[in-house]
Amino acid sequence: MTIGIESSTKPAYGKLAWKPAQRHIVVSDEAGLVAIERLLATACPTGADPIRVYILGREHRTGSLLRAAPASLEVHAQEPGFSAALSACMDTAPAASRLYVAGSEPFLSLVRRLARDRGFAADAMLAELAGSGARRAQCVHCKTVYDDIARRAFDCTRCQVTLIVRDHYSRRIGAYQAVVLYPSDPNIPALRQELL
Amino acid sequence: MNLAIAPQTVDLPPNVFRGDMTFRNSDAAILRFPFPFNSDRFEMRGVGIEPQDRRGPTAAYRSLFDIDEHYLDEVAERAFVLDHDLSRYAMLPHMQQAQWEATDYIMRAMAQDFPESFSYRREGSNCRWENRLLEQHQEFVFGRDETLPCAAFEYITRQTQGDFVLMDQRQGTLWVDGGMVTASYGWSFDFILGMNWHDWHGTLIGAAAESRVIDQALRMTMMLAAETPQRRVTWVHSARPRLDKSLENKIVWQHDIEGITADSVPDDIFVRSEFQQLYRLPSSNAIIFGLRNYLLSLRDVSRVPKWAARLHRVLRDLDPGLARFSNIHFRQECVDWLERFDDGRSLSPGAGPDTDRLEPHP
Repeated sequence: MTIGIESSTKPAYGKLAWKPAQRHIVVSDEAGLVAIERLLATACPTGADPIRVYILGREHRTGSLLRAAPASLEVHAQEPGFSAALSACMDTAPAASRLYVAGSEPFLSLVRRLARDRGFAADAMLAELAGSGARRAQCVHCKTVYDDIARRAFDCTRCQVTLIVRDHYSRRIGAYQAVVLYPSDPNIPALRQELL
Repeated sequence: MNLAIAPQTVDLPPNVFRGDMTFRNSDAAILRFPFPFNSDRFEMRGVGIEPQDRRGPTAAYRSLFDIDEHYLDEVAERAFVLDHDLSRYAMLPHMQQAQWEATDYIMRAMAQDFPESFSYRREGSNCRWENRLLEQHQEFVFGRDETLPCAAFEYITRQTQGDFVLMDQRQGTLWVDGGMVTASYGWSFDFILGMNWHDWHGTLIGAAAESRVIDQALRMTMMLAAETPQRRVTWVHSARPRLDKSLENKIVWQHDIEGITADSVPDDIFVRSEFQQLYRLPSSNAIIFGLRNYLLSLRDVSRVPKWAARLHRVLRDLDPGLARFSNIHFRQECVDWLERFDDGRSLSPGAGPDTDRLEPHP
C-alpha cells in the first residue's frame, strides 16, 4: 500500500482579523509579533472585556507592542509560565470568546493543544502562520516528537530510518505525522530538499 | 467453534501473523471465509451496509463477534503487540460509561453465540465471566475498574478477535475516543485518537469517490439504532498473512513484498477481508466499531471454484481510477495465475461459496 502525503487535517491559516466576540485573546511568539501588531492596529469592533494579549518571548523584542499599550499585556520568556497564564485566562473566558494566534508552526500547535484541553471549540481559534513553515512532526514508529522540521523528509535518529512528513495533523498530539520511507525510494533526495 | 482444529500450542513469541508467518487455514476455515465480492466487478458504489443479523452466506456471519480456529493465535498476537506498544489501546476519560456498556455488550454476545466457550452471568452489578478457551474466569463488579485486572474494555478485547474502536457521538459528528487496535491496515490508531470522523478519514479526502462514501457513511452511522446493528464487508489485497500492518509497524512490513515472485503469488498474496461492524450502545449512545480481519491466500481461494473465477474477474477489471487500487502489488501475476480457474461461465450472485466441499490443492 502507498502512504500518501495529503490530508484534510492540515490546519488552514489565514491573516488575522477581528471577529465578533465577547472576549478577545491575542497570543503570539516572537515570530508572530508583526502579525498581532497589525491586528491590534485595527479597530476591534466588539467585546465587553478588554483585549488580553499574551506573548511568549523576550521582553525587549516587544517594545513596539508595549508602546501600543493594549489594555492587558503579559510577556513570558518561558513556555511553562506562558502556558499557565494563557490557560488561566481561557478557564475564566466566557463562551463567546475568540483566540487569535500568530507564530511559528510549533507555537500554533502548542496553543491549539492548550485551547483544546480547555474546551475551546476548534473554530473559536484563528491562526496566522509566521516565520518559516517548519513543523512539529511525530515519528509514528517510536513516537518521538521533532521540532522545527523544515523539509518533507528527515531522519528519525531513534529508529534510524528516513521519514516523510505528511499533512496529517493531530490536535491531540500537536504534531504532523511522519512515516518511514522505503529505503530505496528514488524520491528521497528530492524530498530531503523540499521545503514545507 | 471446533476446538479439534484449533492450534494446540501457541508459539512464544508469536510466529503466526509475524516472524515466520506460519498462518494456515483449515478446510473448514476456508469455507467459512466472508468472501468480500458479491459480483464480478468491485465498485465503490454506495457503502454496502447491511444488517448485522447473524445471517449470511458463510459461518463467519452467524455470530456478532466471531470466534474461529485462529482464536488463540490472535489473542497471543494481540498480547505481544500490546507488550511492545501500549499506544494500541486507549480510552479517553469521558468514555468510562461507554466502555463498561461495550464490555457488557461484547460479553453477552460472545456467551450467546459460543456458549460452549464463554459464559457471562450478571445479577445487578455482580458479574461473572468465564472464558474456557483461555481457561480463565473472573468475578467483577460492573462499573468498578478495580475489580478487573485492567480497564474493562481492554480486558474483554484482549479476549476477542478483531479490532475495536469506540466512537462518541456529539456536535453532529462521531469521534474516535477509545479502542483496541492491533491489526490496523495502514493507519495509526494512536494518531487519530480524539479525532472526529472527517479528520479520521482526512487522508482519503483526495479521492472524490471515496469522499462521497465517507460523508454518506457518517450520515448512516449517526442514525444507527441500538436494535439494528450493521455490517459491511470490505477487503484489501495484502502481501503475506501479517495482521499488524499498522503505520507503527511499517518499518517491518514494508519489506513483506520482497522475495515474492510469480510462482509464489498463490501462497504469498492474500485476500484480507475486513468485516466491519457497527453496534449502538443505548445508554451511553456510543458506537462500537468492530473491524474483524480474515485472511485467505489465493491458493485457498482457488479451492472454491466460484470464488477463484470471481476473484480473477474482480482483479482483472478493477477501476484503475480508484486511488486505492492504483498500486496493487503483483496484480498482473495474480490475474495470470487465477485465469486458469475462470472459463467465463456465469457465476451465481452473492458471496456464498456454492459448495460444502473444497477442490483439491491446485
